[in-house]
Parts: sequence; C-alpha cells; structure tokens
Amino acid sequence: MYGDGDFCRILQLSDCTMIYLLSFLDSTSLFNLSRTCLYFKNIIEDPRLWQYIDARSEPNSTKKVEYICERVCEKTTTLLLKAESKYNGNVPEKYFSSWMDLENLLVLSLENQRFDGKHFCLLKFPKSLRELSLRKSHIKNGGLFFHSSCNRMRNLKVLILDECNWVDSNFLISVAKYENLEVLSLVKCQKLHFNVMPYLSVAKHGFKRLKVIDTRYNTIGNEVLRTFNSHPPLLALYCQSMRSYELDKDKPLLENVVMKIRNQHILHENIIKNESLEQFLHFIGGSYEELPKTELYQDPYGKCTCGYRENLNRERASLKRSPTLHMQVDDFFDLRPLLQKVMCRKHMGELNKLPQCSNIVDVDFNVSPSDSSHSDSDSDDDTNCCMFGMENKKQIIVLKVRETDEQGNMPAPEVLDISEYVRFSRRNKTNGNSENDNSSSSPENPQPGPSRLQSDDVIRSPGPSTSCKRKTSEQSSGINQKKHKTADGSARVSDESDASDDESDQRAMGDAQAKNEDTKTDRNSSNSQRANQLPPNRPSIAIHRNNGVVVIRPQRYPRPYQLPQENPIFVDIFGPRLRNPYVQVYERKRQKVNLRRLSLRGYRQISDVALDFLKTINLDLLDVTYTGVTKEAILDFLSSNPNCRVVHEDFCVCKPHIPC
Amino acid sequence: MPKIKLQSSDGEIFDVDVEIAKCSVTIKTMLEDLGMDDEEEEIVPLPNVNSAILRKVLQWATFHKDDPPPPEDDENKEKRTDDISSWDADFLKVDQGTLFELILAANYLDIKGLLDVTCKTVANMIKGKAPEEIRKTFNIKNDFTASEEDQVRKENECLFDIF
Repeated sequence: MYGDGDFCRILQLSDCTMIYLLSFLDSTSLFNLSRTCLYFKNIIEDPRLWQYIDARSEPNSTKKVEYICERVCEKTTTLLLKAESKYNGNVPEKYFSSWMDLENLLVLSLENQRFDGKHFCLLKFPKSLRELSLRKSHIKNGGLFFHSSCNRMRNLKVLILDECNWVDSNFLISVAKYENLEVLSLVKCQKLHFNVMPYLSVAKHGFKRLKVIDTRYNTIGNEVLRTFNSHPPLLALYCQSMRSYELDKDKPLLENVVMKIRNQHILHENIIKNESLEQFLHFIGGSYEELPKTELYQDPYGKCTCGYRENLNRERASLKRSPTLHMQVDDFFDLRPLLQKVMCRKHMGELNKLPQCSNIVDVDFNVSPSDSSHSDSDSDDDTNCCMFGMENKKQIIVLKVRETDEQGNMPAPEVLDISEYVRFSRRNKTNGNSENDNSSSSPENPQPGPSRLQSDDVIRSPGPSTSCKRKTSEQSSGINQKKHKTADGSARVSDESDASDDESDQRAMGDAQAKNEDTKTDRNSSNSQRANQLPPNRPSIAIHRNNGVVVIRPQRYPRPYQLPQENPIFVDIFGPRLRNPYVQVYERKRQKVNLRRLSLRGYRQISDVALDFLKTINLDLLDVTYTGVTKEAILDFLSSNPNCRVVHEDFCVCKPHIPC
Repeated sequence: MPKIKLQSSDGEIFDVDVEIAKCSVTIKTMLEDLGMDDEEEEIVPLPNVNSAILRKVLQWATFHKDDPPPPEDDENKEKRTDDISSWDADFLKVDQGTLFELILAANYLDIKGLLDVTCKTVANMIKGKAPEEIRKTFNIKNDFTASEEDQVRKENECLFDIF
C-alpha cells in the first residue's frame, strides 16, 4: 500500500505543509529543487522561503546566484552570497543597487565579490544592517565605499573584512565611528600596515563598543595593542603572527614573493613583546560581559576537541601523587649566587664570567613585618634580601626605586622613577644548587646579619621607618666591614589598596604617602597583622647599589601540581645604576580587567613573564602556542586561573579555525 | 492514568493515555473545548489517519512524552536539519509513503516535534542533490515543456549578455 514505486509521494502534501517542509532547506537546495518540475518552481518562489538566504554552498554558478538574487525580496533579513573564487564576483551590479532598499536586511555577506564603491557604498546601505561581511571581496574605490557611512551604519555590530587586500588603515577611521560596532575582523588584511600608526592613533578614540578584535595574520600586532590599551569593553583579542600560520598550515602565508619582502620589515616592527603586552594590560579594564553572539563571525576557537581538560587533570593528579620534593614553606633561598647569575646574564650574557660581577656587597635591606620569625635565619645566611608577605594573588607588588641623597633623606618624588625600566627574566632554580654556587663565588663572604629589626619597630614608627644598611666595600671583601644605620625613610613598606589607582597616581605615591602618614600607619599595622596569619608567599628583594634592585619571588608553594625539583623563580631587575636606593614597596590591586580571550599565537618574543601579567585577569582562553612560554609557567599560571583554557603545544593543541 | 479512545480512519480503536494523546495539539484542543470527562467512554474519531500511521504516531508520542516543548522558530536563522536524535532516525527508517503519511498525520494532529523531525528527514533527502537526482529520489516527473526550458535558458543568456 505504501511506497509504490511510480507514485510521487512528495506531491501529496498540501501547499502549506510543503512550504513548511521547504523552510528546512538551504537556498542552494531550493534552487536545485526548483529546477525539477513546475510545481516546485512555482511554490519555491513564495517569499516566505526567502527570508533567510544562505546560498554560500556549492555550486556557486552564475545561474544560481542570479536565481537567488531574483528571489531577494522585501522580507529578506539575511543574504549570504559567495562567488566561486577570490575576487571572482558573480552578482550582476543591478542587484546591488536594488538591495539598498531592503529595509529588513540585517545580515549581508558578499564573499569573493567584486564591485565598485562608487555605485555601491555603505552610505546607501539599509540602515537596519547589523552584520556585514566582505570576505575576499574586492571593492574598487574603497574610500568611497566607506565614505561618511557612520550615520548610516549605526546599527552595525559585526564587520568582517577578512582577506580584503584593498582595506587601508585609513578606512579604520570611518569604521571607528560606527557607534555599535562590537566585532571587527581583519584577518589577513595585507595592506593594513600602510601608515597604520597615525590612523590607528586617531581611530582609537572611536570604537566605543568594540568587544572582539580579530587581527590574525596581519602585520599590525603591536599597533593594535597600543591602540586598544585603554579600551574597557574589549573582551577578546586575537593576534597571531604569520609564522604561526606557516606552522599550522605548513605552507607560506604569502605566496607572492614581492609581498613577502615588502612585509619583512613591517613584520619585524610589529612583533608583540612582553613589554607591549604589559603596557596593554596595564590600562585595559572594564566590567564583565559575555562575548557577543553573531551570525557571520566565526569564533576562531571552537570547543576543545583534543581532551585538554582530561590531560590537565591527569597531569595534576600525577603531580599530586609525586613525593613532596617541593620546597618547604620555611625554606629560603640564598639569593646571592642567583643574583650574581642574573647580573651576569644582564651584562655579559654568560655564566662563566661570574666572578667578575661578584661585587654584590652593598645591600640595603629591610626586614619586613610579616617575616619577623624568619628574619633571624635569613640574616644569618646573609641572604641580602628582605621578605614581604604577599597576601593575595590578585595584588601585584610594584617596586619603585628612588635615589636618596647622602644623608638618606627622602628624595623628591620626581627625581627618579625607574618603574619604566622594568625588565624581567625568569630562572629556574633547583633545590640545593644555590649552595654550590655560593661557595664558588663569593668575595663578599656571608656575614651573620646583626641587623635584626623587630617588625613591630617598622610598624610603630612609620614615619622614620626602620631599615638596615649594610656596606661592604668591594676592595676589602675579605674584611667585611659593616655599618648599620637607620635612615629615615630609606626604606618603607606601605600598602596601597586603592583599586582605582592608575599609573599617574602611583607616580605621585611619594607625595601621597607623606600626606597620608597617619592613615598609612593604620593600614600598615593591619596589613602586617593579616600578613602574619597567612602563609608567607614572599617575594624576596635584594638591592644592589650599582645594579639596581632584584626582586626574587619564590613560587607560591606548596602547590599540588608544581613540578618537583623545578621551582621557578621570578627575577625582576630594576633599573640603572643607583646610589643609596630608596625602596618603596606597595601593593596595588589590579583594576578589574574583563578581557576574556587573548591569542598571542606565534609571537616568539612572548615569554613566561607575559603569563605573570596575565595572572590577575580571569581569562577564559589564552593561546600561547609557538611562543617562548614554558610548560612550567603555564602550570603556574593555571594555579591562579584554573578555568582558563590554555592553548599551547603541551596543553590544548586544538588549532584555531582559519577561514580558508 | 486516565485514558481516551482514538479511532483511526479504518475503524481501529486505540486506548491511549490522555497525557500522550495531548502531544497532539488538535486532540488537546478538542478535549479542552468539548470538556470531556474522564469517566465518559467517548471515542475520538481521527478520520484522516489510518491505523498503521496512528500506531506509529502514538509510538513516537510515547517515547517523546517527557520532552520539553520545542523552541519557537527564529525566522532569521537557518533551520538545522542535522539535529535528529538517533532514536528518531531509526524510527523514521521507513519507506517514503509512510514518511509522507507521517508528515500529513503530524500536520493534521498538530504535533510540532514529529512534523519537524519528519520534514528534516525529507529535507536531508533533498539537500546536496542535483535536480536530476532529486527527481529520481522522489519520482518527480520533469514537466517543464521544451519551450519553457528554452525560455529559462534564454532568460539566463539575456542576463549574461547584459553583464
């Protein structure tokens, strides 16, 4: 009874049911079906079926595109067209002008098309337009295309200009004025670097609501960081070097040799480095928001399919089981050998010249309130450091070094601010090694530190804060003369808890501190009380007279998945030569940053230090594949950001989606 | 659980839980409008559905009785056709006649979930096929007259000439 071969069952359905059935078909299938028989040809012309037009699937013959263009009607809200190959173009120009009247059009995608901005410009586009993609399309007279379009494009949220080689940086000025633009995708825009700096510096004042910037595989990496560093709503920033493309795809990004050579120097200029990233993260801020949902923009990072979470959990579990080789909480480093290494590195770049820079003898140090119990053992070893309690990972310790005068008086705040000179490097230290190094190189023999100050002294006398200065002349290293003196204001620990402080405020810290002496007193004491109760996650600080300040921060241990025997130590070296350094240490709460996703794929200059900056941000996704970031640093990063998905050779190996 | 009796077009009577029968908006409205009491042993006639199809429909409704109501269609989105559950896919491994009868029945009984899944199945049969393949699949006769086809071709050529 059912399924007799010759009978056409599909034509049994009523028109209404048929329309409903056809509404499940994409535009290309409808086109094919319309050519089977008259019934379908007629019914498929029903405008109800042409509200959402996605005709991007193959074949993209001229015949089909024309058929689709004929079907575009007043009801159409979405129109997605594609020509067969890049810049090929198969939409007859008369249709372009007819679309200008489509009042309901929300989403328009013209891929691989070719048209003239003189006749078809954004100024004449439907006002309703929310998303526009011109992937791989070529527009003659691009300037005219964007010309004074900001009023018209008030509703535009998504603009995709991937692989548009005609897109110049000056168009970004027009685009910056789009009030509601949330997603801007500029993947592989090869021409964008031309004069990008002046244009972006103007454009940065626009882009008021921009949340997602995708600038992968083009040459404006650093400029983008510079432009959007004060851009609070930013949620996702995808930067990927061209190198990462070559590594991912195993083929060169630019086949054109001329293009390649032309791009060389620009590439070099725009390599994202740790410093620029820090600068970027320093200013960015905002409140939590979700990534915008869009029709056209394809999220480069889909769901993880490589089992990253499982692997990570397994790794953590295995590390948990491993014998406790971690450093004990009470362990301290002998900083000196490490310090010497660092100095060596800095000046000579070689470890074998270690004895030459062993003159690290003049050290000012201050025993911090939080470590009174440990200060004895420290000073015995003459570790040349002071310890500060770090209460909370969300706070960052900022060090400032200023020069004091001969009497140890407070300098004027603007005398020297070397926080700009911060350079970071990272060393791995294995337990026990330090002892050996120590014996091999120490003209400045360790001296039992007689300078033990009760932490309470510091707290109770905040104005003339107590510090201990020990001097050993380089020439008489064997003799080890020591002087101890207490200098007013030569070292001070203060707590800066104002979250809204920006950098300029920090620069004025010296002033502010003097004025707020009384309030600071209270804060200091309460701070120290809190710090006393907490496990000491202390950074160690050693100050060298000639070489600035070294901050050595042991990893915050014990940590379940810390790699045994490899306790990374962060070494921060501050500044140029200093006389009588004045150390000011305060904690600064980071401004809340709402960046959710960051991709730095392929930028080799990005190293472990970058993760240190990123720790305070609640990232959802971080791509550091093909960078200088090490596995250990990521494990450390994950300890403070357990929910972040880190894309890296040793972690999530899912490749980002590259539109091909 | 209260039951009602459904009578198919060929006279067969099905005893069905009211909750399952109410999957069908048509039956639900009928029961509510007529105010049928549970005690009354009335028979609901369904003249447009034969027993074989009604059995299938009830089988589907029984399996899906706890499903949440399907979401409203968004006119601005393309409808997905690749989200058919494996149970439904197995359930719809039937000949074309049954499939289209099910569409008709689902439409008549106003069971959106069943209508959607059957339409999606048909849509998947059409997708990605050239016109000639579609004709073969559904036994569609090419009723374009030669002149009409010529006309279509000419139209296209004209367009080509202009640009």
